[in-house]
Amino acid sequence: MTGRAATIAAYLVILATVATLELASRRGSLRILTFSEAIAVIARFPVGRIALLLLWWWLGWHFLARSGPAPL
Amino acid sequence: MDHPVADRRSAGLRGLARAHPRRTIALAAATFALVAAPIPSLTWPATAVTLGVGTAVLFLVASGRPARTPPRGVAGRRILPWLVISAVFVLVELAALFTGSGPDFPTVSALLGPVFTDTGPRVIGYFAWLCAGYWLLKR
Repeated sequence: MTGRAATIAAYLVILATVATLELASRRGSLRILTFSEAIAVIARFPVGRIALLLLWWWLGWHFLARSGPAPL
Repeated sequence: MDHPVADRRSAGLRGLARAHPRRTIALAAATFALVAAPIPSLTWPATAVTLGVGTAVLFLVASGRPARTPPRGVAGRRILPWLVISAVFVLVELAALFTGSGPDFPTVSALLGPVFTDTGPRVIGYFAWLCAGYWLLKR
């Protein structure tokens, strides 16, 4: 397995874990918050809310205004 | 004499927006996405568009709109798995970033960035970004 494939696999494992956590929280099989509830908890604090909004804005700027073609 | 039907019609777009806020936001986001997506990335207009949206969000936060959804329950340890998975993701990203984000150890940006140079994915990206922003403002 190449380094690139291993890295992509790591990101996919993280994504699958997120999906599993969300499903488990919605079904009530694990006593954890849903993603939406977790975000709401962080947004209760002014610093958390500002950080989330900054992260959101940065993602938009980064992917929609600063994305270039793949390096050759 | 009251004319409920006529009154409802005269409420116009504002009334419609109040009655169906999600649909209105989705329609506005889709329209915005169709207009903004053809603007090429790595240009000043593209940066100006994102800066404009960010400034608009700042004003909305300052004016307290849209109304926020009241939080439910207590978080306690139930938020812990989300913090752990976020930390793992940040660690992998930082490791990839500090090793140069080369082809063997790319960041998410290096993997997904090139996708957003085409107009189609940019429309979807703008739409998802704007809807996520509205969702975040409601938290």
